[in-house]
Amino acid sequence: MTDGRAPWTTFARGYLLVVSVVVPGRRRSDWRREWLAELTHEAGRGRGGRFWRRVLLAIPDSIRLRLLSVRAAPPTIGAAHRAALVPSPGRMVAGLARDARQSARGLRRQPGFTTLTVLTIGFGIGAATTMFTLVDGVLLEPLPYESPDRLVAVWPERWFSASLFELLEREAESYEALAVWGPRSFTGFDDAGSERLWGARSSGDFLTLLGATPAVGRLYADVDDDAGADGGVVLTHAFWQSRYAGRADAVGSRLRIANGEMGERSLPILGVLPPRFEIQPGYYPEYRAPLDFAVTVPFDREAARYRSSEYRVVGRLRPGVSRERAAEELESLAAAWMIEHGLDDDFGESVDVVSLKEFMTGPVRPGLILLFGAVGLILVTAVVNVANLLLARGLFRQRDVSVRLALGATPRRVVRLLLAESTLLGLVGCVVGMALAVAGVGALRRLLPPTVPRLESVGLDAGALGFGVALALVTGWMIGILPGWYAGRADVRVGLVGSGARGATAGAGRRRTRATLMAAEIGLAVVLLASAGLLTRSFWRLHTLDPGFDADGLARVYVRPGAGAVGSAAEFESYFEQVDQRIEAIPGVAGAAATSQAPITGDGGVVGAYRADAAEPETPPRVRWRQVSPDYLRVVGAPLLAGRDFDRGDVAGAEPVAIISEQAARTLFPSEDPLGRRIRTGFESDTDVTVVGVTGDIRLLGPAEAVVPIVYRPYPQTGEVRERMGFAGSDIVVRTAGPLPGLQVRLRDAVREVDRLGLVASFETMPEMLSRTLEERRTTLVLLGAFAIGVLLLGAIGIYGVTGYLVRERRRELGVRLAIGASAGRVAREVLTAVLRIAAVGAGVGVAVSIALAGLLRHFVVEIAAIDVAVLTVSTALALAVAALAAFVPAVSAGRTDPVAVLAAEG
Amino acid sequence: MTDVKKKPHLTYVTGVVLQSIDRGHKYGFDIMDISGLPDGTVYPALRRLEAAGYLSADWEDADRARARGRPSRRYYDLTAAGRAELERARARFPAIDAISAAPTTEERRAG
Repeated sequence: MTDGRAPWTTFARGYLLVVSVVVPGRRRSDWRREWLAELTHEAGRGRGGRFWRRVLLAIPDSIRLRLLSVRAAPPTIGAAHRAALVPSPGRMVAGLARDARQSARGLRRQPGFTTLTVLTIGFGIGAATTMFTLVDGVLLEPLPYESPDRLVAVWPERWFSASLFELLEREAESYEALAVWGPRSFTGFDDAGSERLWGARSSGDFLTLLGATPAVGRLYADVDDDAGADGGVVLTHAFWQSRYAGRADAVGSRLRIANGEMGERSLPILGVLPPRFEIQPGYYPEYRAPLDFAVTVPFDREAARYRSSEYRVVGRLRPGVSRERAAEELESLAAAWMIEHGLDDDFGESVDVVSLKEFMTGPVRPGLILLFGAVGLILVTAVVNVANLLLARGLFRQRDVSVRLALGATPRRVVRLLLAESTLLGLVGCVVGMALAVAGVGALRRLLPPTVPRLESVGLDAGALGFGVALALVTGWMIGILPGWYAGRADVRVGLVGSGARGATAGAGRRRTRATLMAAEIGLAVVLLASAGLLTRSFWRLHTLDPGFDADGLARVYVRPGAGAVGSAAEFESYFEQVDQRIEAIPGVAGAAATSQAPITGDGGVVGAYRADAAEPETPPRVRWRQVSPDYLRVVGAPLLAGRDFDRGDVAGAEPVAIISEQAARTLFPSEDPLGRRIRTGFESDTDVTVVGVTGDIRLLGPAEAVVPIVYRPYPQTGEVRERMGFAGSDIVVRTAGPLPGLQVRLRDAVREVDRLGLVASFETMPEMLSRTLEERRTTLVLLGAFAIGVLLLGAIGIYGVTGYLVRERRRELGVRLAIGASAGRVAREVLTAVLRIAAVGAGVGVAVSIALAGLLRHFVVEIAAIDVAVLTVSTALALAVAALAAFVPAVSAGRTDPVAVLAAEG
Repeated sequence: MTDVKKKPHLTYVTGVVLQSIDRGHKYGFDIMDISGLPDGTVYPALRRLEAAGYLSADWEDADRARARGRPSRRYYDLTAAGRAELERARARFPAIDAISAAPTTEERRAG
C-alpha cells in the first residue's frame, strides 16, 4: 500500500513545491503541508480522474491566497519604497501575479489572436506529450521484471546450439543465471479443438530468472525440465482472461497442444503469468491478441544438436558486472568454441550482450524515435509561429510599451510583462495540449499494431503531466523572449510619436528576425514533408514489390484432421489429397495445394542444411524446410528456373528429392550446378536428398524481410519426419481466378465433406497477409504524414497571420502608393513576392537539411535511394504553394487598401 | 481598495461548509466528500471563511498521523464568530442540518 503510494507522494511534493511559489511567503510551507496531506489522502483511494481534478484544484487555491494577501495588506508608503528598492522573492511573485492579471486582460481583448495562439501551442504540446507518453511507456520505463537492469540478451543475433550454451553455462562468470527460450516454435490446440494457439517455450529456470511472480498457481521450475517430468504450461494473463474468464480453477485443468518435436500432448496448466509479461518483439501470432504461453518442453539438448535450434539465451548479470565485460567474456568463449569445433565462422561484430529491454524494443525503437523527432519539429514550428505572431503584434503594442517606458518602467519590467503574457499563453496552451494528449494517447493505442511491445504500459501519468507542464513553461519562455527583447529596447520617442493611426514600421533587425522565423516555418515543413514523402515512396515500393509468387487471388487456410481421421503418414497424404480435390471442385477455384507452412505465416521449420558429400559442419547454414504437395509451386506461382517440378512419381520409397530456392542454391552450392547434387537437413539427418529443381526466390517472411533459402520436400516422402515430429495439420494454399466471396465458408464445407470433425482455421487472403506485415510501417507513415500536414498547416497559419500584420503595418506606405497611381494588382503581387522570396529561402534550407538528415531515415527507406529528387521537388513545391495560398488573402487586401481612409486618418 | 474583513455573503455553500466542520468533517476533501459539493467549491469557501475570521486552522497531531501512515492534516474549526454565522445559516437553510448529520468518515470506516 505504502509502496504503491510513494511515487504519488513524491509527485505531489514536487508539484506543490512548484505551485506554492504563488502562495504568499508567510503561508507557503503551511499551505504545502495542508495540500500534501489532502492529496495523499486522495491518492490512497485510487488515482482516477477525481485525483487529478483535485491536484489541479491546488492552482486556483494558491492564486486565491495570493489575491487575498494582496488585498489584505494595503501598501504603506514605506512598504512601497522598499518594494521599489529591494527586490524580494515574495514581491517578485506578487509582481508576476500582477503581470499575469494584466496579460490576461490584454489577451482577453484579442480573442482571435489568443485562440489561434493557444490552439497552436496546444497542438504542439499535445503532440509532443502524446509521443512522450508512448516513448516513455515503450522505451524508457523499466521492464516489469526483478532488477530489470541486470537482464541481458546474450548474443542476440545467435541461435544457440546446445554445445555453445553448455559452454557458456559452465565457463561464463558474468552471470548469476542463464536460461534459454525459443520464440515461435510452438503450436497448440485447446481442448475444444476449435482454435489454434501460438506459444513460446523456454527452459524451466527462465521465468525464475526473470523474477516473474505468478498471478495464479505456480510457474514452472527447473524440475519440470527433467526428462520424464510431466511438464505443464503456464498461460499468459491475457489468454487466461479471454479463454478462462480469469477463473482460478483453470489451474489444474489440462491444455492439449501439438508441436513438431513432441507430437500432441495434453499438459496440465500450472499457473498464470503476471499481466504484461512478454519478451519477444515482433511476434506475429495467429490471432491479433497474442495467445503465447510458455510451455515446458524439455530443452532437449540432444535435439538441439541437430541445429534446428530456435533457442535464444537470456541472462541475469551478477551485480556489478557490466555488459561490456560480459560481452568481452562471451567473445573469448565463442572464439574458443569455434576453435574447439574447427569452425571458421566470421561472426564479427555480432557477438554482444545487450540489455533485455533494448532487445525487446529494438524493432520499434527507430520508428518511435523518428516520430518523436518529428513531433519535436511540430513543437518548434508552433513556437516559431507564435513567436512570430507575437513579434508582429508587438509592433502594435509599441505605444503601450513606450508609454510605460516614458513613465519610468524599466526595460526589465516591460520584458517581464511580455514574458508573463507568453507564459500565460503557454500554460493555457498546455491545458489544451493535455486534453489533446489524452485523446491522442487513446487514439494511438488503438492505431498502433499489437506487435508494438509493451503497449499496455503506455498511459498518461505524472511523468507525462510534468513533461507537458515543463514544455509549456519552456515554450512560453521561448515565444516571449524575442518580442520581449525587442520591446525592452524600443525607442520611446518613435513609439510615442510614430504610433497611433499612422502605425510604426519594424526596424531592420526586427524585420530580419521575422523573415528568418517565417523561412524557418517553411523549412521545417519541407523537412517533414520530404521525410513523409520518402517513407511513402518506400512503402509503396514494398507494397507493390514482387514477392516472387503470385499473391493476388491466393488464400491460405489451416486444416487439421479431426480425431481419428488420420492414423498413419499414408493416411495423412490421402486425407490432404482428398481435401485438395474437394477444394478444387469449388467453382472459381483454380488450384489448391498443401504445405507445412504457407508464405508470410511466420517463421517456422528453420533447420540446418548441408551437402551430403561433405562433413556435417557444426553450424550449417539455416534454411526454411517446407513440405509441399506436388502442385504447390504451380499453385503459388513460384517459377521453376531449372530442373523439374515434383510429380506423382515422387512417392515414399522412390528416390528422395528436393527442390531448392535460388538463394538456397547459392548458399549450398556457390559455384556448382545444384541439379543432381545431394543434400541433408537436420530434420532428416540420415537421408540423402537429391536436388531435382531450382525455383525462384520468394519473400517467404514478408516483403520488407530478407530473402531466405528454402528447401521444398514432397509430402509423400516426409511421412517419417511427420510421424516422428507430429505435424498435426497442414496449411492449404488456394488459387482463385478472381475474388470469390464466401470462399472461407466454402472451404470449410469442402473440408467437412472429407472429415466432419476437421478443424478449419486461420483463413486469410495473401494480399491481406502481405499488408499486415507492413502494418508497423504503415502506422509510422500515417503518423509522420499527419505530422507533416500539421506542420504545413501551422506554417500556413503563421504566414497568414504575419503577412496580415505586415500589410497592416505598411498600410500608410501602400495607401500613398495606391493614391499616386500604383495598381491594386501590383501592390498585391509585391506583397506575395516578398513572402514567396522568404519562403523560397526557407524551402532551400529545408531541402539541404533533408539531404543532410537522409542517413537517419535509412532504417525506414528500403528498396529506394534515401535521397529522392522527385520527393524533394514535390515537397518544396507543396510547401511553396501553401505559403503562397496563405499569403494570398492578406496580399489581396493590401491591394484593396483605401488610400483616402489611410491618408485621412493621417491628417 | 476593498475592505479586507468584508463579510462573505451567507450562502448555502458557506452554510454547508460551516455545518460540515461543526459535525466533525474538518479537512478539505473530507468536507467535499461529505457535503457532495463539487470540486472547486469547497476550497474557495474555506479561504473566504478563514479570511473572514469564521474559521481557525490547526494541525492534526503528528503522532496520530504517523500512526496512520500519512502526513498531518490541517483541520479547520469554527471560531465564535463562525458559530454565530452557522446559527444564522441554520436559520436560513434548515436543510443543511439534515445533510451533514451523517456519520463521520472515521465512523464509517469503523462500521
